[in-house]
Amino acid sequence: MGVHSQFIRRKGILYGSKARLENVLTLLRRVAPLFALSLLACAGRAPAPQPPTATPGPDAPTAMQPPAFVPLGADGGSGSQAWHPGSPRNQIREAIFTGAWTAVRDKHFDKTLGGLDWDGLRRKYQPLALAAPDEPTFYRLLNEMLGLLGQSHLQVHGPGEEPGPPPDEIASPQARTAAADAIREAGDDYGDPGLLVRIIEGKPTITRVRPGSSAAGAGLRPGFLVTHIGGRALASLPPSGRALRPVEERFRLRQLAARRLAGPVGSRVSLRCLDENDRPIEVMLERDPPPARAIQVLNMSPVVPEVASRQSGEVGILAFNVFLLQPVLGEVQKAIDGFRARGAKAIIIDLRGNPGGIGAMVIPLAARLSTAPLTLGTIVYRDFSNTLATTASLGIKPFAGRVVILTDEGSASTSEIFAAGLQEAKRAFVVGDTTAGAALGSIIEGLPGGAVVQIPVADFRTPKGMTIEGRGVQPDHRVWETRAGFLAGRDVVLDAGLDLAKASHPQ
Amino acid sequence: MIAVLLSLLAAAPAEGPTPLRPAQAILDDYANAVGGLQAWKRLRSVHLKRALTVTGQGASGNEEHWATADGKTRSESTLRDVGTFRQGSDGRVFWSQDPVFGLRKLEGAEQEDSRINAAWNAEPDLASLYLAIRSVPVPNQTAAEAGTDLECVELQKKLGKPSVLCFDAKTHLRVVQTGVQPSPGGDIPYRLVFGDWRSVKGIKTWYLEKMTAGPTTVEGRITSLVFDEKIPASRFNMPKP
Repeated sequence: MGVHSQFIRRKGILYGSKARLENVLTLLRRVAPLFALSLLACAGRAPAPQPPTATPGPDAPTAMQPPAFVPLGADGGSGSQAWHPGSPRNQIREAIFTGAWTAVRDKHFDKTLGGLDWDGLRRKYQPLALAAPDEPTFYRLLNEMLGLLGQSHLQVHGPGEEPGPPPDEIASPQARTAAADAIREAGDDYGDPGLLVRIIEGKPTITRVRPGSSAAGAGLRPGFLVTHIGGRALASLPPSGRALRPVEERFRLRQLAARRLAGPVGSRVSLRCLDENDRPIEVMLERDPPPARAIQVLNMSPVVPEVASRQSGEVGILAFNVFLLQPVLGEVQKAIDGFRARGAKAIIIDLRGNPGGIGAMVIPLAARLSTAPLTLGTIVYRDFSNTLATTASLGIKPFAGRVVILTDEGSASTSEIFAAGLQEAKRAFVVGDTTAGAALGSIIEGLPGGAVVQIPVADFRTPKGMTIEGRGVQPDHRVWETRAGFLAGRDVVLDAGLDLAKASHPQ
Repeated sequence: MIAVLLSLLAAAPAEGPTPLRPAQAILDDYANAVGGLQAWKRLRSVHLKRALTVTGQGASGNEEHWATADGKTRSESTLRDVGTFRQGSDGRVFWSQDPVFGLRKLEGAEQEDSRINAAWNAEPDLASLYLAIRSVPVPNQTAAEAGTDLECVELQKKLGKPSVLCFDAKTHLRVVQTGVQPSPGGDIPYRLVFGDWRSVKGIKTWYLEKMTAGPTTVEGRITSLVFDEKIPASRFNMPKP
């Protein structure tokens, strides 16, 4: 048979073989990892430092890694350099602006962009941004334009975006060197003093202090009210392109505090606060090294992933600070398997302060917690949809006991997708505070000049068709945290979670 | 006068879509362009390596793939800090293993796709691969982006939606492939673009391909291509749970 023999006509149907010859070389197998990548759902920047609970177990969570971007050298944020239209730096600005504008136009999941005149907004904002007197203003204007879409996961970050170090911040020799360099790939040089600041009863409040940290050594305790970090008042947020919901304001202030506290290891930052008797105190805190090496996945900010698990009687308690397929998923799965093997009757999954990460991780995590197929919701892309549903994996023994998920205003994105999906399926109770309401699938793309743009490429709907974006996950059991509670050394949300986990008839 | 006008109209060429060449003819030309069936029949196995880059998103990795002429196949794609995604078949069982869905035996449309991807060059398997093939017009988006004249063939699988392969009308080499990949969560549209054709051991194959699925594009570039390597049968066994 000759070369044409590969085509056989049987019963009038033509069978072709040529495509088959190259089948072994095609990349169709690779769709699965692409799917995983395109589910990057992570709100904002790297998570704030989160010291362990007041009564830590042997595996209590420790500090996390701050954002990666640092101000450029002496002229990064001062605005002392004039901006000429044809200057190299202005050309970079133009490339950043155009890159971000085009990426949103071409990749945003909503082709109509909410009905906005995207071309008109470019005509308005581009000249303003290019003429900005300094980098922080350039990025503020660019993000103001993006903010008109009124969505999370939509922002541009880049070198020089943040103002320079405050005047009263003392840099170590190592810090001065680190600040002058470009962003370090792994963020190893970034640390924090070991405290978490959140908005409690309307005021910035220390809610956790890491044992053995610089903050602990300075005598700071949960319940102290923070007024200034690095010489700057913490009461208000930088201008936003739109009105923020109260939970968004709390989320952003939490992130702002974390960014100000973070910095090169060994450098110092001032902190002014009110102690338990409302007496003002001021301390100079040194930034401690991170507990482990930071990793950078895709274009996300470097993060120190942490998984902490312990068992309290028949209740397993599992906390992790970011959703990553590597290395977090394996450790989480191992922890759940351990709880099951040791006869735990309930598992508490602590997602407080977890801003999200790789959205695809919700599938294997939910599969570990359900003996029956579970649908968590639908990811709606620009041109197609995909259902987040567990499948029966060989060799997996799911945990069948009660599941309680702890949330707060810092639980965002993938944390919300996970909590909402299990809550609607009545597989888990949610305890704590309303989540951030920032649940969109996104990608982070590089732009010229070291900048990046995060673009929402997918919407998320729960199995009942609800959106979490702009609403958040409403807890089954709302817990009101108070300053008095923190001063008393209590973790009222965890306490409520434990009560529910142990209750014979939870409601 | 009217007769003159009518004769002028009659002399003008009739306009309409260019007739499509038969699918068989398009595939015949492709077969010749890549070396012909006999060149492939001389080969018994392939082991290739690719470097992977997720365009614009700061991710990279590699892929390694093995396949034999009797229908065994295994591929492993690893993306740094994301994980390893495996798929394979020992000729009977089609399986998949990845961090998201774990270890599974493939069924339905997923199994059908995997079976097609695992097929090598066995004449007796012709009938089992596709239900039907036909010539189709070049999709508008493909024509606009290709920058060259194309001819397209639609492949209808037994299960799942068809895919469309488009070939350069002059070189007859594959240029673009579009289709839908089944997954546990539903169908995922994809687009493959092929380039950097090279000759190896008497056959021609592409060294560069770009796959786009949703908002993400992965570029794969062959870094090593070895034919007729001895591959142990155990390589294709399904991993243990």
